[in-house]
Amino acid sequence: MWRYFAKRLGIALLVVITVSVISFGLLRLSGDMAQSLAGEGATAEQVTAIRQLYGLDRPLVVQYFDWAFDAVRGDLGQSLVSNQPVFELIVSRMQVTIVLAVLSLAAAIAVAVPLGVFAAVYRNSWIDRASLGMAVFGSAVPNFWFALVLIYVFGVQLRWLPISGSQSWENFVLPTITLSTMVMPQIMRLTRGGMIEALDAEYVRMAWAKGLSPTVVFFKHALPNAILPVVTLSAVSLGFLLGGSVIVESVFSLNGIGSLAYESIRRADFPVVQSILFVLSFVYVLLTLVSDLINARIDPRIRLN
Amino acid sequence: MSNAPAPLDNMDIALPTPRQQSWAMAKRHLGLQIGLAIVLVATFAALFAPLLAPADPYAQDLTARLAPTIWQEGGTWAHILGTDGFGRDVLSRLIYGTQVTMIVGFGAAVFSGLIGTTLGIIGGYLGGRVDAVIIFLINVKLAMPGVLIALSLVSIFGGSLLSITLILSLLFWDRFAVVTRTATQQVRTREFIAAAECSGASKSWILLREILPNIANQIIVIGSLEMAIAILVEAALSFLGLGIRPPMSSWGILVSEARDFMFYKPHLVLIPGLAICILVIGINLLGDGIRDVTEPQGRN
Repeated sequence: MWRYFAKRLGIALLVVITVSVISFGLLRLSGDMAQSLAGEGATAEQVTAIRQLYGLDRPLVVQYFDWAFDAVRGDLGQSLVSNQPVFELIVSRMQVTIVLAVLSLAAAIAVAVPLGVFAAVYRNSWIDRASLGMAVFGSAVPNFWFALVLIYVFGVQLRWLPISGSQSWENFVLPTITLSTMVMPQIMRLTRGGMIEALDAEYVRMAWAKGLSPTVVFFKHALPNAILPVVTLSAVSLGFLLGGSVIVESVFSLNGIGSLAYESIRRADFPVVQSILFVLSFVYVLLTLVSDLINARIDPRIRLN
Repeated sequence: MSNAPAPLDNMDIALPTPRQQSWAMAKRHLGLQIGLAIVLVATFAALFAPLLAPADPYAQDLTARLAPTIWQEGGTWAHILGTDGFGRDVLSRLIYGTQVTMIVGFGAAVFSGLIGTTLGIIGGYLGGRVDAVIIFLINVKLAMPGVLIALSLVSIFGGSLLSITLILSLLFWDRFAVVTRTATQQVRTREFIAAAECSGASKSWILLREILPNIANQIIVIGSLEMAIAILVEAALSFLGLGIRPPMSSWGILVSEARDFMFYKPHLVLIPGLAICILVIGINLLGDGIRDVTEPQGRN
């Protein structure tokens, strides 16, 4: 177990470092930082002065390590637009996005897992076909468009729900529905596939042979085995939702990290963009690390291999 | 005696070849046929847009703004799907938008397929350190938030067709790599690979002539999936204003432009969105169909 843990942790650290180098490189690709800091009408002397002030005249490697050491201490630099510390900006916007992503994942699991189980149990029945049809539609619908359709139907025509802002829980209903459709089809398919495999397995036939009730067979014997990959997928999906909420946040005017990223990209505020990319990747690596360790704890085949 | 079963060694029934079996299945596979039809229609529309479009997609006519569709009151055959906020013909813009959609979708699927398949078969065949590096690359790729990276790269390199296609290819190669790597590992243990190795075939010969043809159907299936995803992401980028630039017509731009009129002209939002949905479903049906037909045991 410890061997596996150490190895997995080492890889995770390497991935984080590589990602930080890439997002740092992205910032440098965006053009001359000193020029954009100095503004449109700056003279050559002013640009040079700023370049020296911010240390942009030093070798890239030195600049990277400078940035990395600050980042480890929680200092991600300052926004070029508002001059606020990037770390504070991200923390202040993170809450909305976390709420949205967790709600969406919970909604997706609450719908997709039971659907997947029923689809597998009643294979080729109408419920199987209906849930597969929904999965096909769910993975084909563009989410920005789906968001607009929901706004039109529930916000404008029926007037049931607010269409923008983040003041109350009602503001999160439509964004959650939109975002959850992005991960629902995958979770449904994986649950269904896992259940079908489990239902054909020897231990389930054994459970039937013992005369156990269908509920016990399905939910106590088959589902726990089918659900293992779903746990991993959920961790991956949460990371994906945190980084993928940019469209939904912009359509519903939610002030989360996605809309912060979008604004910063449009304003070429690259210290903020770079840090968001880095923080989101870091969270993703952390989530997958935790889910891998949970899986290794549950399933000895993983940790002993 | 005439009813006696024929001795086995005399059996003269020709078993259908795999190709014939696939063909017979394809003829009964409704999903495959619907998907193929949708994809063919979209390809046709993209190729012959100048001939098919009833009007110039860029010609503005401010006297004919927001004209109704043919099925709404006051609709005319001159503008079957009505006009947009600048008086441009919606049907023509939709048809021209197919070009962007198909070029970006197909281009991104091909390029990302090249990157991912190269990495996947090399890692799967060679194993060891090379494989470890490739797994590491896949992990790095997975850790990065794709849509945000795409948005930042487009803001740096601009929203031309080529740059968007290449940026999306850089983002979607991981699934190709994962699938071809596993498939290669399975094929590698088969006897014909050992035979090729024994007869002194070079590594590149084995990878390209022995392994690649045997995993081609899986590559096509992933390709269809990635094409569908690339189309959705391109539309989303264009919708956010960081993709194809107006006045060029992309389905994402059509939705974005129609947003201002959404409350009283909802069809302007509905039509391009439905077009995206239908095309993506078509591509997915086609991909699933190809998987079913080329690999009968892969069903369910």
